[in-house]
Amino acid sequence: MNELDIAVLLITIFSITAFGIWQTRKRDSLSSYLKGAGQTPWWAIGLSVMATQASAITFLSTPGQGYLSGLGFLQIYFGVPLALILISMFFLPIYHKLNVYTAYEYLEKRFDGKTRLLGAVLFLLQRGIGAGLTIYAPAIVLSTVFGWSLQTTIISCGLVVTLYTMLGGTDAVTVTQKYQLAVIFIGMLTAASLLIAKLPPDLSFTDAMHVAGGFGKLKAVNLSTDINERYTLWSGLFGGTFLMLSYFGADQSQVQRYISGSSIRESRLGLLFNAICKIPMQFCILMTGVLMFVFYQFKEPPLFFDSRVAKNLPTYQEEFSKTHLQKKRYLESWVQARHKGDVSASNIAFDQAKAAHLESERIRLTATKELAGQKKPTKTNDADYVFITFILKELPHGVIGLLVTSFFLAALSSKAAELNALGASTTIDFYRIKINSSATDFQCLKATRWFTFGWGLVAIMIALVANFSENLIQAVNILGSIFYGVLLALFLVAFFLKKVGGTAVFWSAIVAQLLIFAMYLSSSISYLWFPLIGCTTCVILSLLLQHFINSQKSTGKTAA
Amino acid sequence: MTEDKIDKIEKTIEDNTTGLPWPKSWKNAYILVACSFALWLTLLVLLGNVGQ
Repeated sequence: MNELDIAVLLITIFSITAFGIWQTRKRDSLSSYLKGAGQTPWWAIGLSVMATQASAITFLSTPGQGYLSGLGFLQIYFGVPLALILISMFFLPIYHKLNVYTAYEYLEKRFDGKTRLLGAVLFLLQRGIGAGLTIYAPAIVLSTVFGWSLQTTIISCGLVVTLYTMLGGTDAVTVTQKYQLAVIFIGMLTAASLLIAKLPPDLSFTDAMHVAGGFGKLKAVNLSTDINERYTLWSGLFGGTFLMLSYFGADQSQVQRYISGSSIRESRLGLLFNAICKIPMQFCILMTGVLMFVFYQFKEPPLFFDSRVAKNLPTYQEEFSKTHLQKKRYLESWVQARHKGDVSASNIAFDQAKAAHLESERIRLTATKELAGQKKPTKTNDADYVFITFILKELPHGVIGLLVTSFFLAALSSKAAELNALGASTTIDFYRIKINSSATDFQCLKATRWFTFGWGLVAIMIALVANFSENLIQAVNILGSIFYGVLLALFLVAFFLKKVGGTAVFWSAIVAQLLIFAMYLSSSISYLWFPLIGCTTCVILSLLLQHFINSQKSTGKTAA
Repeated sequence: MTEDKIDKIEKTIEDNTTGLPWPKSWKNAYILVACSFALWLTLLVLLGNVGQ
């Protein structure tokens, strides 16, 4: 990064952040800190919901996922439209009617205090760990860009985001998110346009799509019924719906975004805006990764994009380079034959290119195995480093600054929303209930700021000690899948099973959560099924336990 | 009728319609979301056949 990049980075971040804090400087009540001023229009809610979900991980790690595995990851979002329709129909009217600060307040109104606490604990655990992951992503970028140590970067990024959220609250988050998202989209569009422009001159866009399709990168829909396969149409439609239903309906970081709307109408439109836009948006991000794959078929990629890993493997790198050169020649022959209309020659050349590609994959796999067998195993899933490597090596200055700014802003917007929700839930669901039940609004506001700061520190510590074997975008979704099913079940039972009481749902939720932990540790079932399994188990157990409790009561009455 | 009641009725009407030129009802808005998903799914299936 040169002076121009650093200027773009600093000016954009400080102007947006200062604007957010200045705009919301007079809103110092608990209600405006936690729910905003209640005047947010639907498009701002929609963008805020989108920005909360789209963290730096989305923009940094997803193109890498597209590069390595193609469009298949898109299936995880197939549940979004249905989930958001259901939330608009059933969840939203209840949250608005009860005028709650946190989603878990409703659980106390419907069941009892312990169920509310359980809901809040599940959220805090999951989101608290998740906050560590979302700090880790921009730290990777900045540590790579500036050459700082990862630890220093995690601490400095984490502190900036924490202080910003602590000062601004919900309104600052919502006010700034739309500008942040605008910068992010401009950055991503610029990167995608330059990437297309950088493809070889004789390779048309259609040719590029054929290369991607020929190497299996365009398969976005997998009809397999194997539950051990991670991304299939069915795991996306069924498991994904439950995952998204839990995330948007029961995760305070999202609920807090859309309950800030001035009316149900505004909140609902904001959600439906996301229901329509989420899949196209993720498609474009994954497609950037797929196009990067095509680009690197004609320009040699490193054996591992994480340069620290690549340094340890000079022998493999040489072999890999040789195979890549062969593949490139075959692909050039394929382009020529295709343009001449020589079908058989083009088929032969493409088959040869595919064989060379398999060979280069074999070399990478052997190198991965060697790294895994080392005394100090190195993280070999380097999908998170693919996009940043491309940006730093291939894009001009100014654009590098814009994209690094985009990643940082994405981290800022999602992290701020997370910390804001963690602070809110800790105050409303714990502090005001268990610690200081007579707290005034001013005391609660003060406590929320300090809890936000505390959660920021927890996130920094988690990011410092964590070692993710998965790439970041998958790690975030796996984490959510473990906790979300049971959390969702608490709300579904509350909404639809009026006869089930607090005790039955509380113990069922604990058993179901333990079952999911056990499944995660011991089975190879795709994580997308966890929300569905956790939710169904909890709902069925609640019904059975309530039936048992009722029969015990009636036996007691008869005996009396 | 008090002003409060009028406000409440106006708010209910406002919440029952999308307030957009189209779709006007929530039911149609949900259908629009479902149709856009179906369209994307079809396009993605077709895209999966490119280069095969």
